[in-house]
Amino acid sequence: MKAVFDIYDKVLKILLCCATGGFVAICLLQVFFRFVLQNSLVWSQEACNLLFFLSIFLGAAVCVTERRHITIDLVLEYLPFRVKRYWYLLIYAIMFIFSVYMVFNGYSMALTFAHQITSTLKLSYYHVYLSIPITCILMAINVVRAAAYDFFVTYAPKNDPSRNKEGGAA
Amino acid sequence: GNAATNSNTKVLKLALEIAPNALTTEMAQKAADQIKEETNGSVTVEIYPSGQLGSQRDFIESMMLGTIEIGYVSASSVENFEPEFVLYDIPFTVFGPEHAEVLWDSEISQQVQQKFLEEQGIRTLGMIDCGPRNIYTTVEVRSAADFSKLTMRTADVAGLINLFNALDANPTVTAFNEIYTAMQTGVVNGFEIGLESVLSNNLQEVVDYCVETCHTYTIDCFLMSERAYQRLTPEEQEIVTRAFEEASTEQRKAFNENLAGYKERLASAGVETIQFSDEEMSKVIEMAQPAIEKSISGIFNTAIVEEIRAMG
Amino acid sequence: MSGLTALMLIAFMVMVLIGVPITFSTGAAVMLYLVLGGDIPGTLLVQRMYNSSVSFTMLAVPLFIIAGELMNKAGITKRIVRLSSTLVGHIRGSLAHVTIFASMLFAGMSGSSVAAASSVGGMLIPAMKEDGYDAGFGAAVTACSATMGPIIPPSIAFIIYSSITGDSVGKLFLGGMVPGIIMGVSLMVIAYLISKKRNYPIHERSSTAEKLSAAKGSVLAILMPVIILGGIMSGIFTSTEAGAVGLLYGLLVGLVTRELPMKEVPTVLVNGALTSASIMYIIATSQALGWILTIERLPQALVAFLSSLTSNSTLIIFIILGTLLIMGCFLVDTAMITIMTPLFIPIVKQYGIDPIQFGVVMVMMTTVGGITPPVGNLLFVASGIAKTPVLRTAKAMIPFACALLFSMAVCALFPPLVTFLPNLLG
Ligand code: NA
Ligand code: NA
Repeated sequence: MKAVFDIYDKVLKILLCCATGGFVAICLLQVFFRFVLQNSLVWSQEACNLLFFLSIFLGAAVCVTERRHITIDLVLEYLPFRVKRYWYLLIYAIMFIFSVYMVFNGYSMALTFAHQITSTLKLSYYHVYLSIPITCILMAINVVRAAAYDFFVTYAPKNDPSRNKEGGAA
Repeated sequence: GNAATNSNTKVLKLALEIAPNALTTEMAQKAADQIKEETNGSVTVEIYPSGQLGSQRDFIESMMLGTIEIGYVSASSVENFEPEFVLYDIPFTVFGPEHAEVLWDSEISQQVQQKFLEEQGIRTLGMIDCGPRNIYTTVEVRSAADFSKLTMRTADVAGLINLFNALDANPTVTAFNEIYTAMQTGVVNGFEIGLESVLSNNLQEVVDYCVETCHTYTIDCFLMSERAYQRLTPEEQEIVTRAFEEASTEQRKAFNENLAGYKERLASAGVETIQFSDEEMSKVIEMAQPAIEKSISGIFNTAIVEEIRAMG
Repeated sequence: MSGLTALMLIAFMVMVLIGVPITFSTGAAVMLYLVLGGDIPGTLLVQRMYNSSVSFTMLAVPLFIIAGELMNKAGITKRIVRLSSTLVGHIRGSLAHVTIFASMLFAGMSGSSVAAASSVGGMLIPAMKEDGYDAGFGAAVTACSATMGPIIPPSIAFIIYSSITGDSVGKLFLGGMVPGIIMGVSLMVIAYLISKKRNYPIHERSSTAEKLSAAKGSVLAILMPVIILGGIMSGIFTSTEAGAVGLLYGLLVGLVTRELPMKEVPTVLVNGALTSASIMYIIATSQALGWILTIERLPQALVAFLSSLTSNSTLIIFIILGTLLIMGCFLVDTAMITIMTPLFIPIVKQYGIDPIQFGVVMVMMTTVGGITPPVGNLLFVASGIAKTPVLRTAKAMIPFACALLFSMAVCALFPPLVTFLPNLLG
């Protein structure tokens, strides 16, 4: 199982790297064509925007397992260890419901606007919007993984620092 | 949730990208007042200007999704949803306000609008005249050959980018909000929009010349979600349709009356207006020919170009 | 305000407090509204998120963040620290002053505050950390000085304001000059006082020879801002594209000096992408929240209530600023300007307040919205670069925020500070 998810994580990061590297390269190409060749690219801006969008949505999914989503940890810091296990489960449940809601509505967007095309690349919005449910499925998977890890490993009773300090006397 | 509206009031959210004090917004407000009065408050139109609810592309999507009911958009922004809307946007085919109106009312135009209604569920409520699109520059452009001096800001629209590539100008896609700064720093030295937009965004401050190319004629329209339209009673439908028709007619009249004043404001800001000779103009149109053909390829027969020109 | 809107906002605050990541708090609150409300489809959330993510202006965020990381890895950061410590190191808190000064310079090049925060922060936050400054302090200085971005011309915010009110962009740009400088100076005073209290590093005054040698060693480092600023000013590229050019430069320097192995480049790209995704996803969900507040006419209700409180024109300005401070907790600056300006303008006209002065003061307050939690893009960008918790940055920010509020109050109370220049030249 761990091996599978290692590959899964790696693939996501490679995709993220390609999307990011892609908009960087296209943005540079855009300057080069306009300023040096005096002949602007038609599709570059839209391509940059779409890759940027992809990197945000894919990145947001990866941020879940990488614990990179911005959080106000005012209350979290003061919670007793025993409570944290269930507290985090509640937080992950909210994140999971949101991700699933996005999957359904994102798919509905893709179907509704399948006939719409983008201005310069002439892509179908079906494909553009389809990346939302797909990245949100990845996000939902990552939420479940993070939740499981925190419940069974990070905040498992055996890892309670106070219990370990007392040598398990409780 | 508004205290002034009771529970059986039908609320129509109307979204615009332009400012609250723009001519068309004022006309929309007039239509809204008229509708409220004539329906005795059973239908209220809430107006959201300045792009508060998004951009023109969003408005069309939002009408289809049912998150807003009425949107004010340019005909060209409908093209991504209904390619045949390119009809109103073929370069160098429409040259004046009457011409634009004749085109809008023409049989082929009615067919295109009907198709949009049947296939996408969006109804056209009225045509708004935003005048010819000219080029505003900081460099002198006096001949067709001078276009090569231009780095043109264009919207992210394939038709426009192709047009300026064909004219040997260097088109650059820039956000609308960044035109002012891009002109100041010189990332671009020209852009093309309607005169009212130039003035309402104070772009005359960063411009030296207005080149009257009239490469396209800006036709905008009020659109309404058919789903929302069908929720109205027949009397209400009649009132809403008539109110927007009247508002649009009045806008077209007022716009063309204001035009002289707009031009004066432009001149008093120190902007020189350049008109091409007929000879130069025909050279420009000839250069644009590949872009004209590209814009309609696969949508209309090339004969449409002469057909529209003949309407004027 | 309907009960449902109140429920949405309360749910949002509760979720943020119990530790649900901010973007999920916003998203789930909007979801709650859409599910319970019934008449607006759930696709609204997706649509608003998509449309706020495809923005070429915001592309500056990942580009500058990655450029900063590359410079850090390529050793450019170290050279900047060395050079600035030989030049101004004898002043207490020198790097903080360098940050504020660099932000003023960058503000003069770019129209957006996020671009300023990510470019200056990307370069100088790692430098400050390296020189022994607290990470939260570094992030706070960066975020707060980025608020000068839209005040010192050019400014996208003023352009949007002008398109709504019809006031001259040129006059607004001129009007922002003096307030921008007041902001910069008051931030520097605070930075000095804090650095003194905390004993932040002070370096001995260097000899001319030392300065020259540091300058020689940091030619590559100085070239970076020269390329970025020069390129924007001479119109070769826009401020967004400058991010890509800076990134390329950082990459080339790193590879040529061999301080950055090729195999580390993808890691840097992914890291930068994750930082910017975590910020942009919040902006995306908060756009949906803003959309709902707009159609619920919450701003209208707020303005109507507040303007009924007094008829004194000075008090009105402060009431308006207070309203913006509250709204700024939830909305991003450009959204706030488009939503609030049309509501305020009738009041401003009624009380005879100068629209240029009002525009400048209002934009100052909307950019302060960028640093106030829970939704503040400058706060997130700076904390992201500094890799420090948002609350720690927010806490470190309090004195700087006071300096900003002070500058704003001065400009609200003495209109000529704003209007003198535009009236002189217009
Ligand atoms: Na600026
Ligand atoms: Na805020």
